[in-house]
Amino acid sequence: MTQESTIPEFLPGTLYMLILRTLASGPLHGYAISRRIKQSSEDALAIEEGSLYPALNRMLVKGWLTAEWGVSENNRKARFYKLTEDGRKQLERESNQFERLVRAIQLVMRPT
Amino acid sequence: MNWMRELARRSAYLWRRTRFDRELDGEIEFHIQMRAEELEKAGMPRADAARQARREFGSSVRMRESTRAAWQIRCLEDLLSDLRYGIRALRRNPGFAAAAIFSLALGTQKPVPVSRRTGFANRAVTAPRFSSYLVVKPATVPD
Repeated sequence: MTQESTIPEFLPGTLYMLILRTLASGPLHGYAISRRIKQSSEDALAIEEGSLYPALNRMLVKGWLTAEWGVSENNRKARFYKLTEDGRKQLERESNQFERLVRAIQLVMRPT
Repeated sequence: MNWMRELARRSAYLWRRTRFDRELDGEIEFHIQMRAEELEKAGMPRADAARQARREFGSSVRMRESTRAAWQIRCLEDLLSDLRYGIRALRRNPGFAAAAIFSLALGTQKPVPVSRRTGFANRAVTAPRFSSYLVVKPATVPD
């Protein structure tokens, strides 16, 4: 079994960025968001439900997302989260910052 | 003006808290069912799948609390509940409420010029204050 990291532990603040990135390709419900992140990280990242929903709601307050009830792929009522224009801008800001940070860390860690 | 829009969204939440809680319950239920279905597809018996999904979800009470906290304006909500408490207390004790309102009405009025001739407030200047009808003029003591 692969080692799982829960996101808030591993880098604070990245949860927002990962959610924004996951929603960039279209609206999803909460369960699908955590599925998608788990899959695209090849099971390395797991979001705890206890932090997913509070984070989604903080993002609604900030206006990065909107939420709407719809019908899920298996015909159940589900709440779908959608990126707003502000959310898209925030995603761009955060991923730029993140890239700079990663590059800087790599520079320090480079074998000499 | 981002913070203003944020404040507007937070205030809107104050008026639909019951609906918000109901919707959050629905969302949690959906999440657990989806996970249970997934476990079942992977070959787990239905009852076990449902139990495991619920266990994996963890404490929904704490999660609900912090989800709500995302919207709350702490001081405003405290103020609202203080006001509600105050109104309830006054309703339980209408005699006390009347006395309190009456004495505050007496005490907090703006001073008004009182006509020397009639002893009443000078209506030409401003409306008479309620207490000017009630307060007895102190007796003048001759030297």
